[in-house]
Amino acid sequence: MKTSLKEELFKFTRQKTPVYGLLTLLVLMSYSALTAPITPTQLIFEFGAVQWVTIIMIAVSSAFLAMEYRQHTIILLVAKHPRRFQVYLAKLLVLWLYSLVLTGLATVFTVVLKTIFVGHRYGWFHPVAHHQTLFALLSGNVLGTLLYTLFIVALSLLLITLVKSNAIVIGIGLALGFMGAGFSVAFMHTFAAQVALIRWNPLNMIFITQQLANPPYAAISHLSNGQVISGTLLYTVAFILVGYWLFKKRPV
Amino acid sequence: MLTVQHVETYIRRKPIVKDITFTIAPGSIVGLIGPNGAGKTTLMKTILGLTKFSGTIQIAQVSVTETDHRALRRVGALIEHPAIYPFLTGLQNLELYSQSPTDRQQLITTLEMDGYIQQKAKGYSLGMKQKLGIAIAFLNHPQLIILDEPMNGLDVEATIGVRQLIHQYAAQGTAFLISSHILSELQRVMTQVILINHGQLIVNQPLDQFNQLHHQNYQFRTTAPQQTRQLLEAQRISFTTHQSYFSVRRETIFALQDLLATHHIYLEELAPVERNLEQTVVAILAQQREAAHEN
Repeated sequence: MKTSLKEELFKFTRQKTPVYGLLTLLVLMSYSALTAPITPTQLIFEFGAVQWVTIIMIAVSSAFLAMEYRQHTIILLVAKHPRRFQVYLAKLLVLWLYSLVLTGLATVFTVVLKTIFVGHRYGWFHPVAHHQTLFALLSGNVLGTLLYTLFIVALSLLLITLVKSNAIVIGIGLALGFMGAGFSVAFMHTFAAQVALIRWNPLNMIFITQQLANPPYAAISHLSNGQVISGTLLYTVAFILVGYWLFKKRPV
Repeated sequence: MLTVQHVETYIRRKPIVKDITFTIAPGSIVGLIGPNGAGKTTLMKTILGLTKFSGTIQIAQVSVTETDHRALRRVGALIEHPAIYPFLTGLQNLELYSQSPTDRQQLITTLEMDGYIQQKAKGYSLGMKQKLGIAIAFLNHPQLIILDEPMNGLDVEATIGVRQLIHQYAAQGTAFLISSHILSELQRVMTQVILINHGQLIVNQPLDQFNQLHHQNYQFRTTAPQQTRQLLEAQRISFTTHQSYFSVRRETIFALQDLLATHHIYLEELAPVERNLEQTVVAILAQQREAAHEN
């Protein structure tokens, strides 16, 4: 496993895509900071970073697996490693590590942008909403983003193994990012009687990115913080298992 | 080194490899021959544990399965396309799997890749990529190397270099399974022939034995060609003629010599018809087709 991880890191860090991902995040956050008024909500949600990180992760994750098939390196990659699961898991871990870097960078850049644009206004340790400080709510957002990227990376690898097209996976990712939560809410409204069951649908887990930083969202998701966290983690495990099963079945 | 026993591979429920059994000893260079679609690449992939199969595959007494590749730790391979990451340099591609810088450098030098090894592989020509793919297969002195069409895109000098490398590694005990459509090139390196067609093993023989057994035709010249022709026709011995030469099947030559001697006709020349590997393979496949038609 250590060897697989080392090899995947070696490949990942020598590609340009992750660097472009980092730069894209910075550009998009700067755009948000320049085009919208800077409010505590903007700061809590790190200038929309959670949304951008998700989209970047979908694109980078699917490309990272798809390139093995495109470059015909998958044959040697699978043959050289004792177990196929190691290959899949090593890719997942490297991508999660990258999401950690993206999320960390988004937080640092939020601090930088705040300092540049609003200086000491909105102190980090002053209550801003629901008796919680800006720092606490931002931490909730960071935790939500990190948990959601686990979910999204596992889903992206599953999708790319299933549909084999990067463009389709990115399309699905964008649809999820922009419409997923809305679709889930509409679904729960339409079938209100079954809400106890429907609230566990995977699209509803998108609320983890908002709910941990904005507790009233629990009323929309119909899930408590604990439930949305466990739901996200359970779906992540399920996506990993199904994704690996598809990866194992896919001819090389 | 490699033991393949009753291996069958199905792809989408279609049998591609059918009940194949063979072994490869350390130091052997086995040429895997067969027409397009015969199942050569599938067989190689099966040995590498890349497909679902029934039967047994063992490398140095350790079993290979689709889910357990521990036996493949000391196996090098080049299957279909060189496994190269274009965003890495040639050297980085080697570093990815290499365990020894000395071994790596030796391969770079032997395959004359020093000039471009520091460049990104995306700019490589077909031949450069192929050499890098071969170098990856030879990394870490494997016990078994599987090469699918290794000479693709190589120039004459590179082909000679790869041939020498194969001989050098085989002398040190590395076993090889090599498929190639360039049979003349394969003939120069292999010590054993495996011929497959429609997923079935047709021939599995040491090269010398294969050459002897499949030199089936003999040609001869006699002191009385006209009488010889009449005798052959009378005795219903099938033959063909070319100028003053008669050509007959190997199994008839003893009876033929007796027959000619009885009629005081003497042989001026008798020799096996030299066939190259390509012609032999074509003839065997033709015979197999005929036999299949008759059945």
